[in-house]
Amino acid sequence: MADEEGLIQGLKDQRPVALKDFLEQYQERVYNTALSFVKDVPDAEELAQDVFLTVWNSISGFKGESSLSTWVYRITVSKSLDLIRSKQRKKRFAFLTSLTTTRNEIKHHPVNWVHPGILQENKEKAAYLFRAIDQLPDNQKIAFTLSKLEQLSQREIAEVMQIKEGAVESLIQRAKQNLRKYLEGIYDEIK
Amino acid sequence: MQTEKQIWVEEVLNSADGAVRAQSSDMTDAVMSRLGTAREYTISPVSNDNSLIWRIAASVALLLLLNVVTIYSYLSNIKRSAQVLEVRAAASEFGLGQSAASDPAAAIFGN
Repeated sequence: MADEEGLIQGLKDQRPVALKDFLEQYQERVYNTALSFVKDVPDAEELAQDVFLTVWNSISGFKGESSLSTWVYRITVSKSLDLIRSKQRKKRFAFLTSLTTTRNEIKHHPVNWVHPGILQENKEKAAYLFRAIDQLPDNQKIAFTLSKLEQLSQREIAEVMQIKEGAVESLIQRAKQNLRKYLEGIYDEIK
Repeated sequence: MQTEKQIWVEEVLNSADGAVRAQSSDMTDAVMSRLGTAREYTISPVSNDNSLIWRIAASVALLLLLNVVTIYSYLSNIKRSAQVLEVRAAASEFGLGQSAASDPAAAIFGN
């Protein structure tokens, strides 16, 4: 397996073997990050493939100012948020069209979606957590997801989000406060 | 002292702890295949379309043929004009009538 520098050079030289190495090393990370955001297995797989194609096609522009993994995470998060926004637009449009048609086929994310990597005994509660995460503003959602699910350090999250470490800590704290608020609402709803 | 609600909220908040990475299907083939298609498309969108190449070649050949016909016809006209001038000069040299001089082609080829 190539080291990071060799891997980057291999990708820059457009060597297929480098792409294979890259896929081996990054497939799970990219797929899981995408899955945490888009909450749909086929969407996450397609998005992960898009990320790899983007990396392959734009690696010549990678200046090495951050690590390769940071760059890949940045692309993954950005593409995930784009997909979520595009789905939300479609959902709004579908709602509008449903007002004028008799067919009512608005597709929603399943309400009780749980990341498949969550421990079995926590799945029921995690479903509420993911429902609450959906309510967070984008920057809090990114910081919390990368910290909790991808277990990135605050320094790594700061690099991905291109903000200061202190700002990441503050985003995670605010995310937790908001999640507590949303979860209290959910508790009142279900109990 | 935490209420039941607060305990539940904290448990939910920590429910993602210890999460492991989910397995995905191997994407190598899918990525390679998408990349192959993309590269063929970006590098030579025309070269793989044989029918288009044949259509271009046929158009060029037709244009060349038309040019050859036009040039041949042009050269024939020049040659005929030269012959007419020669006949006209000969006619006037031998003192033939005005009609032969004015219509040497008729004098040569008949009506």
